[in-house]
Amino acid sequence: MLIAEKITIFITAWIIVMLFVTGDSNFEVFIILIFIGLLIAKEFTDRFTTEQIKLRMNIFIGAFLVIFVAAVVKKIMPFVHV
Amino acid sequence: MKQNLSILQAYVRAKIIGIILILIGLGLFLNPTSLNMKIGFASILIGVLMVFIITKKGTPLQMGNVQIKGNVEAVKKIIRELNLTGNAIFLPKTENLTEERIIIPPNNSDIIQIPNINNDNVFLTRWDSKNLGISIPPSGLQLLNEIEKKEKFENTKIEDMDEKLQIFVGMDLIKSLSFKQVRNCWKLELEKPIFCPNDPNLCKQYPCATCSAILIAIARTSNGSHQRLWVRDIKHNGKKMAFYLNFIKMRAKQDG
Repeated sequence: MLIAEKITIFITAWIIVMLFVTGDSNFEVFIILIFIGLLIAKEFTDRFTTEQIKLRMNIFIGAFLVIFVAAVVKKIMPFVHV
Repeated sequence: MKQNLSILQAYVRAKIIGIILILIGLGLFLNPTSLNMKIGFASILIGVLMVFIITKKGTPLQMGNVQIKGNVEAVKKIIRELNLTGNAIFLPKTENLTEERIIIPPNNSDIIQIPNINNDNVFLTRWDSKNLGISIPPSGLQLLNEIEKKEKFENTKIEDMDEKLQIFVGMDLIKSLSFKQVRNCWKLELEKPIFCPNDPNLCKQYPCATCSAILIAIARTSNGSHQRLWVRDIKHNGKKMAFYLNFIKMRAKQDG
């Protein structure tokens, strides 16, 4: 099995587990937990992956980072106005 | 061409499943309840991962095999003409030898008689003109030099090599690899490289580029820096193959 397939299987399993763990709770928590899964996958597989896979993983992580920042901003905005 | 686009190939299946998951995810967004949104998002994300992460764009197998076949045949002819039956010995760099060499001795009982050699030696003879084999650059030397831009093998402890060698798996050169000590030798077990000559006799004497690069990397370890790496035996078992390796101490005096 190629490393790319292993990464995809790990992230898929992580997403499914997080789907069950978060249940009906906040959507933002679900997104952030997926983001953590992506970071874990990236950290553990970085030295075994090709440049192409690294770049694609970074694109996913970048996208989730933007969502994460948006979620944080949304949470702190009420306090900033006060 | 048909073979390359076959639905049986993993990356083609992954793309089809990925696209189906994206469509299911988009379908779930049409009825946007909290749970549907979550499942839809998860489905789209898994689909996108399958489409973009799992890729397999390489040289078609046949073309790759043809590329290495020419070199392999040339080396096989030389070995046959010189009647060399000994297994390969990887020589580490020395003052006189600026890059690793592979020695193919006339037979396995003569491995102790290998002289210290330099860059200019190709056909090795003893003082009484007895044939001691040939000394040629290993096929995987350039490949290893390229890999070493990412991962250095020199001065690595032999016990840490199993972990270090996984870079070959990471670069998709082979699918799996293990390197461990068994009884009185080291065993390197790997799934056959994509471009494998599938010739056990040749693997013993002049391994292909991928296997050769792994073996030079092992020879470059701290354990191998003053020792020669001898391919003691080799076993092909279906998709896998195993090299049984021994380190041989170098001679103190030059006797070539």
